[in-house]
Amino acid sequence: MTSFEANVFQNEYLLPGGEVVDAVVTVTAFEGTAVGAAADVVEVIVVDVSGSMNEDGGSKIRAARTATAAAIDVLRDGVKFAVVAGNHEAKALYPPHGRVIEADDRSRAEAKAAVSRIVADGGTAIGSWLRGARRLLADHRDSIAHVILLTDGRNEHEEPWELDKAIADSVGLFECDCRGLGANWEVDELRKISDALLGTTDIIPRPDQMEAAFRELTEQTMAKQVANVGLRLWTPKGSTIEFVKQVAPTLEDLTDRPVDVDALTRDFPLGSWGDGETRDYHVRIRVPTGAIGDERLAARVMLAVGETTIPVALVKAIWTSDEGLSTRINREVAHYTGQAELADVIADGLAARAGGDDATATVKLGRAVQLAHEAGNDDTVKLLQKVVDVDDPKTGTVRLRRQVEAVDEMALDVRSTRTVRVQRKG
Amino acid sequence: MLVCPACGEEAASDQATWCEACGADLGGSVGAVGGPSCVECGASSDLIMDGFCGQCGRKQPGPRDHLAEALDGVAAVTDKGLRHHHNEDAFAIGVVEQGWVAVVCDGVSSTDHSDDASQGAADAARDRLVGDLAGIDVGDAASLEAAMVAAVDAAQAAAARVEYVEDGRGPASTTIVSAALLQTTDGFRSVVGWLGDSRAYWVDADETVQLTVDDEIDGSISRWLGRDAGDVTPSVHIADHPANRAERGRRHLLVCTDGLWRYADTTDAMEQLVADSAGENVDPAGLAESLVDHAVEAGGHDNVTVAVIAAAR
Repeated sequence: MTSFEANVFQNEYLLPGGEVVDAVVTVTAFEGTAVGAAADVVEVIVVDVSGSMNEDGGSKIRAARTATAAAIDVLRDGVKFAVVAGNHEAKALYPPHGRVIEADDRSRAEAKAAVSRIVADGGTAIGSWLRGARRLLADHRDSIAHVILLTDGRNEHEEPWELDKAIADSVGLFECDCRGLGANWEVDELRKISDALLGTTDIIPRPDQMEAAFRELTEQTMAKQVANVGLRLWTPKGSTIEFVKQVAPTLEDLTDRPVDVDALTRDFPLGSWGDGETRDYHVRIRVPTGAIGDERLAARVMLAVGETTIPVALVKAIWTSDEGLSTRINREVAHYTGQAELADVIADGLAARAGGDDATATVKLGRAVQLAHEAGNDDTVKLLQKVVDVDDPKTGTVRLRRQVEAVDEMALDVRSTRTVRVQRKG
Repeated sequence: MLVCPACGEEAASDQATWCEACGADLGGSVGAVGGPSCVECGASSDLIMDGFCGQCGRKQPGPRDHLAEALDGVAAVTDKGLRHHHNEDAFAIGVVEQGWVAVVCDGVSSTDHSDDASQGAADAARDRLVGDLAGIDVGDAASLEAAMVAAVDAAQAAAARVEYVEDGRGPASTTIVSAALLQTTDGFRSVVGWLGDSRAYWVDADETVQLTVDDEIDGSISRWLGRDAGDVTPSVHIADHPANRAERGRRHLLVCTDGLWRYADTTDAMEQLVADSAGENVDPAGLAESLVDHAVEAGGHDNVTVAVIAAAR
């Protein structure tokens, strides 16, 4: 049984003529009186069985067997699941009849037996894997439907549009966390999938790290309680939603995915939630300006859970002639603006480095070190240190490293959207 | 489950249209039926929720944002101004056989529920004064002073009754100026009792006199009403305003909070302000409204309240 609570952080004061209202909304799900019965959970594991999984002396395919079996062991009784083997096509590995099956001692044992017999062969067509997952999950729209997708390679055996269409057809049906094994996969390709399907993309640098990653992902899904939560925003007539971003735990731009509820109200899908989960959102709204002393509601923030709407917070605009009030930047808004800049400079720095523009790469990655250091993104600092030698984190003085492991560069890229929350003193 | 956005309590049901814990509108299908429509876009009152228009978002004026009352010979206006979000000022006016009563209170905005303290104090002082002045000998200064002390004592009782939850900000408190203007055989007599920095002025064509002395030390008020007030015996000033001095033109007793006098903090400036605001207008309601408008237009830094008694029979 899950409830939600939210807090708004904003400076509501604007100077005359001011129109732009920024607010950070923190939403927490906690165990309490229910907003709806706990939803069913359906887990589909899509594991790459392409020929490249035989490389490295078979360590990758062995790790895939072990990791998938470990994930199956985490499934609790009553959860429905299936395992799909993906290469240039998707094959139902378990259950063989191509529908999801309820987890119990017997089905878990049968599934693990099937997984132990996986052999690697063939190409990579990730769109076909998504289509396979969609066939299994089409009838589970109201459930917490989750897909773990593992690949060690690029989408080489179908046209790009086929993957794009498979992604588009899957939106709203399931959430998908993508994991890339090693360094021969494409960050942007997996990120495109996980962004659209409200999941994450991460790297598994070595095969022996796969089991822990699979177990963690499955545990996260087992902790989900409520499916299909929407961030519902009412904004006044004449206003524009400039953006809606998830800013913690990771940066996700939700701006382009609204579902209209009525002329002034929109839902931004947030996917499923588990008790104890906290996510932060940064919304920016442009509202019709007001005269000194006027106050206007810039947004009414609600959560839509099934048929229930929970009012959580009000974002306001108050016009004042007092510059002391209007120029103050809210701490949370400033923090997450910095976190977004951090992700941007990492992306720009890596792109410049890949393009051979070392000067730009040095400046951008130096700025990234500085921002990460200031905000306390310790993990990001560590990832940056594998790509640059840091002379002074305070000023962002760095030198590009000559020898950089491909997996380290990919890890920096893929984890650049991980944020830290505002650090509260005492 | 529906949760009240104002106080966070759960509603009785998902269909609830108001919060049983705090009374806030939960924005169901029912608004304040027949209530005022939006001040900006004219949207129906049904669309107004939590005090905001559901169409243009404009905050609707609260009931205390601007209040005015006029009786025969005495009027008062209060406005929240432009900077404060609540109006913690209050007034109470009354008419007695021999004249008029006007009380103005300025709730201290750093404390909770100061509007309850100020309104409670003003009403209590006015009620007590109207009662005690019935049949009193206007020539008997000692009785008048006693009546004023009793009125402020009643005001203190009301201010100290306001609920206080320990929150580090101190209990609700308020200033007070309680004034009566009473007819004598040859003119008028003013009786003014106060604590704090709200003021009373006598304004006529010949002179402007501040009848009160601010209880203020280093910019903070040194005396007030409320749970944590010390001695609440008011300073009392009694003055006679003989009719033969200025038969012509306007003669007013003005009572106000610092939301007005900070824009005219010398008697000369106040005299000028009243002259500019009043023109030939001796109607107390018009003068009070005009003075409040001036303070708001000058910046509205604070709540502003003005009560005016017209010395005329």
